[in-house]
Amino acid sequence: MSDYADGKNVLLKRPQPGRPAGVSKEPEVIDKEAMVNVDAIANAVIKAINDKMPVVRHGGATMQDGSGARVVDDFDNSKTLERLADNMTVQGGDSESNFEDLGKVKINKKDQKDVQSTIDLLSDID
Amino acid sequence: MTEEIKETGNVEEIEVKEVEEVKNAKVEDIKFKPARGCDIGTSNIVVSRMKEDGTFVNRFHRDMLYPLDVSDESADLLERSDYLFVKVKDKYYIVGEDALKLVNAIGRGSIVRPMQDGILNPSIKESSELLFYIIKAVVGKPSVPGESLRFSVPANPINRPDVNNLFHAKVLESFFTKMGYDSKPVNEAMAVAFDSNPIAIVDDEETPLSGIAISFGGGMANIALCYKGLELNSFSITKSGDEIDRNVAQVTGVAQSKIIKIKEKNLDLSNIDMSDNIQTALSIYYDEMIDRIVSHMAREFVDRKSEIDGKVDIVIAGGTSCPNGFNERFADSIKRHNFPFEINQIRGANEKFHSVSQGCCIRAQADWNKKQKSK
Repeated sequence: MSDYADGKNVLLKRPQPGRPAGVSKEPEVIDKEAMVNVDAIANAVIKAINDKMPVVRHGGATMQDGSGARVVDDFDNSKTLERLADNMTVQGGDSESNFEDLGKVKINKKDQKDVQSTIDLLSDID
Repeated sequence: MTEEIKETGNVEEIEVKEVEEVKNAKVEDIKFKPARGCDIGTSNIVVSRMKEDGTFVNRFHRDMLYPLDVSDESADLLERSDYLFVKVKDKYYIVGEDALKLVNAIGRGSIVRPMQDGILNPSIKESSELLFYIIKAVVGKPSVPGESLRFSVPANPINRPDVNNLFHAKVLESFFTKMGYDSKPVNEAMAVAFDSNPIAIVDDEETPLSGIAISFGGGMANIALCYKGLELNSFSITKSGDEIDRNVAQVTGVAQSKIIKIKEKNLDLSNIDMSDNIQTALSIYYDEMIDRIVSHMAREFVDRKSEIDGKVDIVIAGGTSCPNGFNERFADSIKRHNFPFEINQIRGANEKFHSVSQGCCIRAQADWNKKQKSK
């Protein structure tokens, strides 16, 4: 703990229980270089705690960790979704429809050169 | 079944000669290039294929259903009519345009959708099964084994952190794989860019496929920033066309299904009849929707520190952007917001309704070409 007296950082002698407080006549001068950087320690502690905080995996959502900071859940759940999708697109045996094709048709002519140049450009992109 | 279109809401009347050509030949008999694109939207499913001469043939179907309990009466109704339906467990689901007609005729019940906010509707247990029936019937079988197919998926919405599109994309990929396609997802807004080719102008030189593409769908608006065909940034914002319908229905007391019809057939945002409550409400809610999307968009690009050199195009597509006067209102809203890049021009896609699907088809053509080269 540091206090300030007579333009210097000093350690104040704390009053004994039952005695009045007063500044020491010979204040102890503190070496500034030896002073503790409380902020740095606090940041280091917060970082250490955050690194060890469990992250809840939940469908790629952004979650809050214990410190209130936002963390992104980057767990790859695409395999789970693929399995789910494959199993959910099976048609039930008791369902039926009275049509085989649907829809109305509209023709649209576009400049073939423009379309081809776009196709060529996209053919080089994955 | 190929039908001639006279008037179907967002879709303009088509050249009868062209339709006849397709009708007579049956779509299945036309010489198509292998590879197709598919826009699985909240309101419509659109499939695009390209003829040898580069013409797109787009097939579309409303992504809506009207549920009826299985009973002697409903069985009788379906027998006497030509309604198309799917029967799952204890319900008949009338599909497509008929669903809208029936709900308007009966005057009770409501339309259900296998999709909501751009992805599978979690509140309908049978949504994936129903959607699979519709997709199979609209998309058809692959013309060659392993035909390339690209289908659109929305980006995750910035205003709904609970929504994740990954499962939706996996379900669709599973559908198409089971049908025999070699399928991959493509970002919905990027598909608009592939179809409409936004340009960035840097030092008086034009860079293709660079700029901002937006798809205003029924459930959400999808936005992407791209450079030379590469996606730099993408996100979506919910509350698009369907939200307008819901709000207008609420304030006017008119059924949502009727609002949809009026919006698609009569709405001209450059010429609103202010004595008509429905048109007035549609106009006001369109303004709100455009401002909300533009304001989120501007903030998101600033927050993400999105940068692109030069002036960029903004291209707009999607069924919700179809009414006349939409582009002008959008441009007015853009002027009121700060973007981290200069805008060159704002333009609508030539075919706003089919742009996503055509863009998917273009991407699929590139996949197919690449596959052939590597053989």
